[in-house]
Amino acid sequence: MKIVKILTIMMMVWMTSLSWAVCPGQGADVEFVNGVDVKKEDAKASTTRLKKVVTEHPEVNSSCVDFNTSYNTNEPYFIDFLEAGLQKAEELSGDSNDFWKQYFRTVPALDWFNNLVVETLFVPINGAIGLGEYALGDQTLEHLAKYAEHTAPATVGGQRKRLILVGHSQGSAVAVLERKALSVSDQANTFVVSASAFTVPEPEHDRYTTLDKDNLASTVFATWGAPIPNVPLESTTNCDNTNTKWLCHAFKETYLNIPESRNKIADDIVAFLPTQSLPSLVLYNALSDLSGSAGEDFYYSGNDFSPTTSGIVASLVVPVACATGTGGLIRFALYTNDLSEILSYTDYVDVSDMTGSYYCDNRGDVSRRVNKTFNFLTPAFIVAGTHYRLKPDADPVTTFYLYWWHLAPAWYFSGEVTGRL
Amino acid sequence: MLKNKKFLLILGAILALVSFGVWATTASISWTPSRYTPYSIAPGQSTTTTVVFTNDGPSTINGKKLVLEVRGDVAGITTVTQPNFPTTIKKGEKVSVNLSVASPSNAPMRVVNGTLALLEVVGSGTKDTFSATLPIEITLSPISVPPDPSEFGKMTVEGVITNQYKIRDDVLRAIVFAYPTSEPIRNALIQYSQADQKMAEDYLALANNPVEQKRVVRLDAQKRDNGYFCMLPLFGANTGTLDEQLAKLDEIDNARHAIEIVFLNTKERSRIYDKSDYLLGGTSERVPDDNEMPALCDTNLLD
Repeated sequence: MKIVKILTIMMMVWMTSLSWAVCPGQGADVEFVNGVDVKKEDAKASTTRLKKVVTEHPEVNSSCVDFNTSYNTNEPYFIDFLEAGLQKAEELSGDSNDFWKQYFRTVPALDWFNNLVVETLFVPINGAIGLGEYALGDQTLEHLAKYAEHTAPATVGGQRKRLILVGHSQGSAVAVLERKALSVSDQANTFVVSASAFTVPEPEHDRYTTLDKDNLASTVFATWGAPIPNVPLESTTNCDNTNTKWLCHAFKETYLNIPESRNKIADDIVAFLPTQSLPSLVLYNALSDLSGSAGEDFYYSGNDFSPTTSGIVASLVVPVACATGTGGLIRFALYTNDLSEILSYTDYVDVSDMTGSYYCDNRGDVSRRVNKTFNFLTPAFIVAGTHYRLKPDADPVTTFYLYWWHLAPAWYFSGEVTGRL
Repeated sequence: MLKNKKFLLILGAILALVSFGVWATTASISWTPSRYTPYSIAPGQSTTTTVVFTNDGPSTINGKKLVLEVRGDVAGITTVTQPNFPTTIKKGEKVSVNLSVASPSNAPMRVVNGTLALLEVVGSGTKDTFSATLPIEITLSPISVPPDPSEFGKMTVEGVITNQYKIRDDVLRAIVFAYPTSEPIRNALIQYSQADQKMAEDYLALANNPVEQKRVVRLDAQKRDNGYFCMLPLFGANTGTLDEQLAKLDEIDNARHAIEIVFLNTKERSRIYDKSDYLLGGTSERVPDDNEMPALCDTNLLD
């Protein structure tokens, strides 16, 4: 009985350390707070796009970050905008539907539409913010309750997930207000990343991205003291045209599409994700720690292996015998055993120095093999007893010969790695 | 004698005027139905129907040589069986006409328009328009779609719903025409539109119970979200490079918006959409993981 108890406690300790190792700080909850320029389904589509952009970041472990759509509406302002827009569209084209075509950005927005946005939405909303009268009432209360639920500690006594509010346009003001409505301790664990920011950021907690060619916004924001644009738009997207004002203000169509703003928004979010040092070096010996039959060349078809203990994959050391071809960059991909998922890639390593007769004509000569270290870009957690596969992912014009089973130590997991999630 | 002659001249003039009046007004006929727009016809299939015209008066049509003729693009696929026109067609009398439409076996998906005209053969054999024509609109489609309700479909908020999916006929047509070759994508868009439709219906039906209205409309919106997420794997938006995935998300947005724009084709529908959307403010919902999305496709759209 005592043994069972001890084993149970050991198991709990192990499980706790395992989850801690995978998701530092319990992970994070990213909430997209939409602007008044989208309805619910497009707010959701924006969050979906945001999730793809952020989880692609090499420092992000997607299993540690949840993405939610924190939907807000601003009916008193929007209803005026809608009525005037439907009426104007009907007057001009005989079809009120032209309003929605422009609102959904399926056609370029005309001057009358852009002017209406400024007059009926941006000016009054900014005015309310400037006077400190901007509030969403019940919607904010609902959001705060949801944030508490989404960031709830996974274990008793554990810490909350970090809360990152990503606001766009009017949503940036909503995000700041919602953070300020949290308790002091929760505020310290909450950060705001804004796109087309309405409010001046507090550097410790807020970061923002406003394109210098977000012309629809900048004409209004300057009046109310919003932060100056901080990202010059240099890519080919044409935001100088009056008919692209509405498009160039958009979150998913522009801010998350144009590399300059997309990368900055992703970097800003990642900067607020919790970090920690991963466990110290665990060294695996290819001959003693990994199961699998010894082979000579490391073929493209990949090798499966099954480590005997769990740990973090940090780097892979492989003896290279010879590389031919005009390229020379190779990297590895770490797969699940059924090859259905890539857990991580290594960085590219140049093996072009391994060409020529010295190496290639004598590739059986152990003394002419050179150890190359491949660092994994996103360290992956390896579970003992589980089968994985490694496949070289090479420049197609390169042929290379790698020896690994024969030489020890050839295969390393972990190291002193500092990573985010 | 002179008096009689004068009398006969006056009588003749009166008769001529009366006759002119009669012929001038006999052209007033009406068609039932007022438009012929059947369900779609699949390639190689045909359909036959009977339409009726009625002499709306004010007088009898008498001694006219009448003939029916199909005009416009639809003439290539439609034949009309000439009825035995009675010598006289009294005011209020109806005449039945058989129309047959046959779709060629290789017919591409398209809408074909034309008219059925009732003509009068005059002396030299030429044909004069005799009455109002019957508009014909035929949809050739390998997938069954209802007829276009046209402006009639905009007369009420509910619109015209004759299809098994219980979404508006104009919306279903837009979906089928946009994705004629992909049943899974059509189904995802139908799922999405069913939720849109249900949101509007529930918003109106529960207007006197705001608490329940908000609860139900939010459930409907979640079903619509499921329809959206169901589309991601179907469009291939979860595989490939980031840029490839984002391009696929754009495709999905375009598909959704195209359908949404049809859905919001009147002011009143737009207002209801906006008001029901307002009830969604305050929600915070998770974006599912890629591997959870296929299960969000509704496998029974006929519930």
